[in-house]
Amino acid sequence: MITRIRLFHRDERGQIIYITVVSVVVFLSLAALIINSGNAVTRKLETQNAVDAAAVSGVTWIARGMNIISMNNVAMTEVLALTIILDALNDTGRIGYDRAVVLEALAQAACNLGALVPVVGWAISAVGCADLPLLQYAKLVFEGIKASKGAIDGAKTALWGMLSTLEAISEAVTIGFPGVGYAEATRIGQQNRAEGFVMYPPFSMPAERRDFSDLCHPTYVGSPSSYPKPLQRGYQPLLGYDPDEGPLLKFRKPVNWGLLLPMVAIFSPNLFKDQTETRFGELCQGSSSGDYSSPQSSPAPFLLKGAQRSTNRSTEQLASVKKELNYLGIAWRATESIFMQARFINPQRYVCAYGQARVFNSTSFDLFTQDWRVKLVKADLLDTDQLARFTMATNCGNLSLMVATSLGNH
Amino acid sequence: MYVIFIWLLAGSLFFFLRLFWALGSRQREMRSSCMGEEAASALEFTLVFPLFLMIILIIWQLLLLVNASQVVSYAAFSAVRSAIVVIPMKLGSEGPNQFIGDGSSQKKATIQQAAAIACTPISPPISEWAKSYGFLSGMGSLTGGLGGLGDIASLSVLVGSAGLNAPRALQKASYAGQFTNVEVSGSTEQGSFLENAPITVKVEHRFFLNVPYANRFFSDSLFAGLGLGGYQRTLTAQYTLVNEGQKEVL
Repeated sequence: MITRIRLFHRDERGQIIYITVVSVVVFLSLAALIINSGNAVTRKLETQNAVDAAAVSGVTWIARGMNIISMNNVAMTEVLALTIILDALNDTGRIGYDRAVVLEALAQAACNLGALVPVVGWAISAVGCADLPLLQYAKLVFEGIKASKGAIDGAKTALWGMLSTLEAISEAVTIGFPGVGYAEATRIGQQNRAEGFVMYPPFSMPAERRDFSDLCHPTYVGSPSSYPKPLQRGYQPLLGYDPDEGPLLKFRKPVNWGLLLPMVAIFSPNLFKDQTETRFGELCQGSSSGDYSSPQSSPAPFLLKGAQRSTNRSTEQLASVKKELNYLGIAWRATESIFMQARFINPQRYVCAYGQARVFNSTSFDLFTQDWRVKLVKADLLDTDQLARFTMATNCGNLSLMVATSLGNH
Repeated sequence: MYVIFIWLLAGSLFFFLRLFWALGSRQREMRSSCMGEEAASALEFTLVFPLFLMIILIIWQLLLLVNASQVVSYAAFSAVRSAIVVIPMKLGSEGPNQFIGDGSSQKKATIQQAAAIACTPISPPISEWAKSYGFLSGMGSLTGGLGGLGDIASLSVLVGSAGLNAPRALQKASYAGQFTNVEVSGSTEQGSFLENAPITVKVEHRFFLNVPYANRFFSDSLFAGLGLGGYQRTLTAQYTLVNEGQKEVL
């Protein structure tokens, strides 16, 4: 023993080595502390960013879907208006041609015979002769319209089919986009290195199929007053629909054209209004009519659940839809130390983060306005009992601990 | 984690003590030969060892400080993440995007809480901090003398019965709540924050320096050890995110 101590003291380098060993161990442990806690903080921050990114990207698909449905609904009103104009065009061609023939004959007679009477006759002759080329031209135009009846009917059928296609697209979006959104959220979460990711509640689109009459009001109010007169006239057939009271029960009876014919000007609004008004007015009322298919199979828009027909907004029911449009994401990731794993054990096995995203509209809360967007909101879904059950499925362990420690601060 | 360091220190202390004991016994027995050299060696050790220990303590405190600054950066992130969703809300007397920065502001309290919770892991139990009030602890009037300690009761409501070591966690949270402050700034117009404009939150945490002897080298105040609240160092960090307060209808 003494020999060993003696040797130990003789060797002065040994003392330095022991000191070095001890200090190296101490410093390594301290370095491990810094690296591991830095790593834990980074993981927490990354998980928070992952859940934010995932929630926003996933819920964006709901907003996208609602924008597509809004676009489709607006397109449906445009197509419907076009259908009505084309429908009116057929009648215009037929009636206008008949009237142009009669008026042309009258003008011809006035031009030929007016000169026989002095003074007054000259005036009549001048008017008749001047009108003659115009009426001949009008006859040609109406003849052309009459001749293209087949083409117009074809276009009308195509437009009617387009309405159905738009509706089918809206339906596909309603069914498909929530799933795509959830898959996207999960993918973004995983790409940001979250080991697990769930969202609550399950994604769904708060839109439902309504009926044809829900198109009437938007088509009616959607006709801008800046349109040229003939185009505005195309919307007038929907006058059978009262914006406040819904479809009117009484519709204008067809006019006896034979009696009125000589007295009505060529471009009178009444010329082609009545024929089409009845047809679409009855469709707006919800009953079968004319040469169109029955309302059961007629195209219909997708509207927000609980939206009122006349205004499409501002009801108590919409407030519940607004509540539905909140989605809470929870992501988690293991808290493994990267340095001296056996020594530095985190009491919480997983680092968890949450974030809530909301779909909102900053212009008008309806499915005719393509202004649906997504933003992060304070997570008020954290408090619900349903969530407590739901979160047991995650690896975040004790949810109450999570709620208590994060206290719903964001 | 501290347990490891304590064991390491104890181990090194034991090693040196044993060394001195061995030196002494050898001196007693082998006084005749090469005595001067050994005495010089022992003297060298007694002089160097405290210095060496001091260096270790200083490095220890320094690394804890580095660690704390990382956590405070995270606290700044937590606070601003809270701010971007809390400021757009209607909360108490504050309307959407309005923010009153004073003590009555519920929004500020929420943001401050977010920062404080993030700072809890680097905070000491508040009782440990209270011990540093030299005079007060001597008089034994802790709860009466420190107004802040009353907040433990209100924090217990927040933390509740969560966690296995609730009392300690509670005490840590209490310290963090009292010594973490936030300062919110961003582009405003007539007192309300602009939509989609950046919000910056600056977090100030008064980090408690708890390594003996080394703490005074890092303290904000040199005389804090004289019963004036212990050695603390103010750590600041700031983070900026975009306000989520876009206008919505209904």
